[in-house]
Amino acid sequence: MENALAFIGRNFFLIFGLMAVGAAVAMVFSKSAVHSVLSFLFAMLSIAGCYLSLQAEFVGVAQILVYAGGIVVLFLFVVMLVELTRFKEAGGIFHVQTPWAVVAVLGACAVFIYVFRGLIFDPASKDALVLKPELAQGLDVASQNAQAVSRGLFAEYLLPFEILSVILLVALVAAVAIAKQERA
Amino acid sequence: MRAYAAILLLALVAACIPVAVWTLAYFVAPKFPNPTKATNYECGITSPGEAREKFHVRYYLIAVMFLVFDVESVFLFPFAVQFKELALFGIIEIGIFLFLLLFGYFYIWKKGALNWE
Repeated sequence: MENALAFIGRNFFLIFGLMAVGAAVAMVFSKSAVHSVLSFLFAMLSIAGCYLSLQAEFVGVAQILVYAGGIVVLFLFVVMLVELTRFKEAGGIFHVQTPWAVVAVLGACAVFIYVFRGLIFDPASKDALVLKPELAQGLDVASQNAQAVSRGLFAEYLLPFEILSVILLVALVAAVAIAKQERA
Repeated sequence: MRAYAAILLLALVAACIPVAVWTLAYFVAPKFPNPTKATNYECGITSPGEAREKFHVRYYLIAVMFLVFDVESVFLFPFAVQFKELALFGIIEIGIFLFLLLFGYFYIWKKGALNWE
């Protein structure tokens, strides 16, 4: 019992990661769209658990706020907006999609391996993932990682941060364009 | 990490209670199903159709607005914790960020997309 608890305590990342993968598989294979969204919610919460087990508390809480909060709500709205019964009657639509989905997954795997091949085969290239010392200077990163994120965001990655607000603006304008079209 | 032990315990207890109730109900409750019992409402107005009908696209705008300002609030937090260190430079940066998003908000407002007709 004692050993089992110690094992669980050491491997939170592994446990949450397996939960996320399981939920993602359930999301893909569930018949009902609403069940898919709920599995997605569970996967996102598990990934937040992964972040927390890596002591990235700010990212973990942001994950819960944005993904488990905002994105899941958006997906549920999309499920409500689409007439799903029509897809059920059509039936055949997924048979057309299946080969393309397999191609897309294989392509995504190839890109993933290409980008991270260094990390998999060469442990020395992990440096890119280690927190830069100037960001951590004078901070206890384990408990102050929002401050470390802030230093990176408002100094080194200033332009991407400002471009982000433009992208969010585009999303707002596009939503208005879609919603207004109906009335005209 | 130790601080999260309480949350984990809470999650475990919260997961155990419904499982325990369901298991108890499964063994204790008598089961005599019939078609009338299986209907959604045993009394009152009969339901006119399915709940899964198409909703108006206007709900999508509300969802996207919620998402955009949700993301915005997440980015305000790292600004707030480093407010003193970032000084005037940070205020200008977050000012541009907020200006662009408020611009979007006023755009929606002026377009009349917030009016529920």
